[in-house]
Amino acid sequence: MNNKRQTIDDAMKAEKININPYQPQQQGNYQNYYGYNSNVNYRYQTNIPTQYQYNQYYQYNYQGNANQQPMMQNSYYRSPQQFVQQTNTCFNQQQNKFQAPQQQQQFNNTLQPLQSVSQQLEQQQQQQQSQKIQIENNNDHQFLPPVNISELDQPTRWESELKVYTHLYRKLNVEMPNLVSARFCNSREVFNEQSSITVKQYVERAFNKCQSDDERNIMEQLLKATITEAKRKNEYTTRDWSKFPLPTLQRENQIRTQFLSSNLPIKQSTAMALSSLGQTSKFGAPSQAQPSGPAQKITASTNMHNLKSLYDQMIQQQVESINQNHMKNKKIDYSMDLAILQIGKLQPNATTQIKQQQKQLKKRIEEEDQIIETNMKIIGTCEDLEKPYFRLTGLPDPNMIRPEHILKKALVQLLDKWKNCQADYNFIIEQFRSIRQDLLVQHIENRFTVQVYEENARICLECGDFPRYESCWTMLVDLYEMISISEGKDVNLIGNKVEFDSYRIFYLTMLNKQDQLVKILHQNLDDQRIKFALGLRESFKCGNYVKLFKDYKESSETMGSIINHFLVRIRVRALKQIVKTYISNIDLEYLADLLAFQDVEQFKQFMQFFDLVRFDETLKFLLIKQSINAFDNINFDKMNE
Amino acid sequence: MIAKKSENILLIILRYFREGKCLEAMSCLKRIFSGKEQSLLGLDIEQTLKQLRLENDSEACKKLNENARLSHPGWVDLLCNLLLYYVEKERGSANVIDHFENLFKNTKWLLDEQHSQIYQFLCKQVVTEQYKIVQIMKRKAKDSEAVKRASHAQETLESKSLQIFQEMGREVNIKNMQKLKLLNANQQMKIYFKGFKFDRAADCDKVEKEQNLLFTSPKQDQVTYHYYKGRILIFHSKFVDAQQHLTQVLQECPRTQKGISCARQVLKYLIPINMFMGRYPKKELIEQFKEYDLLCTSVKQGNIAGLQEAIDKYRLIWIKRSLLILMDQLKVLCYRNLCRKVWLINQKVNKIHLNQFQKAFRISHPLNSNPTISEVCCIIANLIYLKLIQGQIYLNNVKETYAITLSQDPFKNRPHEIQWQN
Repeated sequence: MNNKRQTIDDAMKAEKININPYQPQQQGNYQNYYGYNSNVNYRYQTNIPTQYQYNQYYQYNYQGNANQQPMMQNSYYRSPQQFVQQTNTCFNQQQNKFQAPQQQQQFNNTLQPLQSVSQQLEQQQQQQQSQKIQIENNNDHQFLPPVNISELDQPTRWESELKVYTHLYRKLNVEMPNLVSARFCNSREVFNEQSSITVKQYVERAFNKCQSDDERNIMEQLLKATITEAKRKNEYTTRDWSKFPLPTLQRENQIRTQFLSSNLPIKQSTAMALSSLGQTSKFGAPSQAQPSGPAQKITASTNMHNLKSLYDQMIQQQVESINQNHMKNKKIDYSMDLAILQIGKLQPNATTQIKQQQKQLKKRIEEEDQIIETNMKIIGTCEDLEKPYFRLTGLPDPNMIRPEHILKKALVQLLDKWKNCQADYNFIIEQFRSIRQDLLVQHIENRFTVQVYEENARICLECGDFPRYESCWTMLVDLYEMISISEGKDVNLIGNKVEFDSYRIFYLTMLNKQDQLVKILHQNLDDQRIKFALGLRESFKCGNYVKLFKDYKESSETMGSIINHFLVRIRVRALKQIVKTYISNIDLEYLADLLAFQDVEQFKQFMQFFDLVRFDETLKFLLIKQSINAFDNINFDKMNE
Repeated sequence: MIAKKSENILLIILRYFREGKCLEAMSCLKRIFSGKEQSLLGLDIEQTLKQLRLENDSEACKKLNENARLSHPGWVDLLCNLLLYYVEKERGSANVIDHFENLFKNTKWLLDEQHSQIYQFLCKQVVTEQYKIVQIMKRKAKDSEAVKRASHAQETLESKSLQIFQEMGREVNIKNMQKLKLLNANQQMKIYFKGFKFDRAADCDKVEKEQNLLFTSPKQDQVTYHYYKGRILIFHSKFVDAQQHLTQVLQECPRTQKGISCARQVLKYLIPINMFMGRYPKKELIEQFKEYDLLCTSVKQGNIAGLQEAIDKYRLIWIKRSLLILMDQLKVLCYRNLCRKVWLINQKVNKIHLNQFQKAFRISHPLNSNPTISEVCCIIANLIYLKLIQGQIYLNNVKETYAITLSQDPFKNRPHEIQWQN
């Protein structure tokens, strides 16, 4: 499962091989690596041999041994300040899911200080074999107080904590994997020099790339070269290390060329992109992120494998963190607060690199989408006239899609059904949706498409389904424009544009949207239907309800049904006006006639609906004085119930 | 220097730049933007670009190159971008949008005292160029892809140019160039205006946020600001404020040829607005704007038929000036004037029978020859509701008495003072 070792650890090991005399010293410091001990004076540096040139930037790795040892022994008597630090690191550990095995290695290393490299490797394999043994090992170590293992086996314990943390991150809008660099943030408290942190990150990223000891050796030399060069140029403190390119290994060059040349199958492309997004963003687990072999192709199956291993690591790490929590008397709340502070700090610099990577990936995805668009023009073969609508989740299947001539027949049949009242509104709309989907998938954008959308918009208008009408309308505007350009004709001559514009004018008048209205008027110059709609607008604005209702009775079917839907608003407005301007009580018959009700009874029902019954005893007159403010706060939502 | 033979307008501009003659360079740039330099299309682009960048191999050129780069880094790039943009625009290809963005985005270096003139000129070009691009793209679109792109070109260009101005605005704010702030805001307003987004245009009003901005800006920007602000206020039916802004423009217009054309443009909107204030144009003015003749007289007299005729006759003009919406309100005004006439004829009595109004409406609106009492009631009710008339309607169907009772001074509310939005 975990044949890739954590790289910084590896890098250190590689050093250890080179210089044996300092081996114990280094190992003693391993625990220090994550800033465990606050009482160590990190600025203090012992005499370091020349081989450790870059140790200056790795100060924390090579602290005086003397400071460390007593601390190890007195780990039960910690100062309060130290306590705080500990909680910090504990939390960071928990964040650094992928660091967990590394820490275990460290503990093991301290147990067996004089291990050769091969032994270490063996031990790693042992680790992979069983977790429980590791836990026991850890428990043996004096650094950790004993933990009841049975307690750990209960999944609820760490699951609940995991939930707490994931919830926390989501709340803070921080991606989980980014938290890897929380560790750096933590060490910032220890190191005041800004530059050393960025250099540290840089070096770590460089080592993360390596996969074998040989490469690590090469990388070390390369890094030494770059850093000495930077020093020579006096750029060491000023250079932006986070953007400075990493030294490239030979292997990488090979991979890059191969990756570009290899053509990935289209279906896997998105999956790949997703997985690599996930991988590259987690540079805490770099050995997984980079393709390990030159000939490796990333496929879905390997992704699954990766995910599994990640999951295992996560569990391991959770166990670790619980151990740590035990040690700290479960002061989770405190550490959580600190974590929030830290997240705020680390956000800006941690995300820059990830953003760049994501941009590249997005580009790649877009390119592939274009390939799909150009190469895959689907022509359907399905011949059903009626087809239920399904939301597309994958690539469309030609067997399920109807070609254009079938769609034409389907539309005719559908409209017949609608006119003869053989189907209800929901059925019709669903059928329209599936027709529109088929058109969209096959990239059909011609007069037939316009017809489909127009009929759909008309039915929506007749039924008062205005949100759907709006979506149809935006599509129609695009279609009109496109067809007029391709055919070189005036926009108004395409389909029934003028007719729908006239509907739109009335619709916008009722919604009081001036700017869109002006835009529509700009396109239309002289047409009877437009003038009719403008006449309606004028009589509404001038309060000439007699003329308005006269026009309403003469209007076409669709226009009439649109007015129908706004009729209540118009009537209420008219009544409001009448109530405020008249002083005599008004005959109900006269009002019913004025407001185009069928008879007085209907008018009475209308008034009852809005709780506005203020009639006299004989039910013949509307009492004006009593209802003068009645129409101020009409709740139109009642209509929709 | 560069050989005379191959000298084209770009090289001439570059030389002007080098010699610091900004005005001459600008006149050349104007020629290019107005499409008068068709010879640019015949150039070998690569060769010209090389020439502009001074990428010849000869020693002399290399020396020149160093000098030019050091002293005029932006100009070379600007002209290169301009050439690329011009060629792509005439071809009508899709790349033109990118080049458009390139050309206008890389103008930050012009933001200093010496070059601000050129900067202003380029700012003003952004909006006008947009429409040229769209037109050419629509004309030259052939395959379905190009058609799709052309149909969306307007929107993309709009958002791109807004981006450009926002970026420029940020730069201007950083350098705190008071003079250019208003120009920037005006251009954004202009873009929204062309896209019929008046609400958005009202949002970029920076003068309300910074009080001194208006007085520290150059005159021409002030005038532009007042013009757009006035027009936005017309859409919101705030006629008093609109009138103030528009008259400001009229007063501050210089009496040059350009200033007079500017004044003409403003008067197109000021005349109808002033009618709400009770001010009607004089004969001399009407002679210049014949389309307003019938309109003004009809409203003044309360002649509904005449007003309708004026609207129908010059419908195209009203639509072009986005004034058609205003005509509804003018009609209300016309009805009000008619009612006032009736009141005056009846010697300002308190109680007038509705028959009188019915008669008046019949005379003024011959097409609708027989308006019913209820129709008259509706119109007068609306006028009362809008508070244009102070009074009440008395209606008694049984006794057949329809009358309107008026207060002491029923027409004291001026049409511009009332709330039109209701």
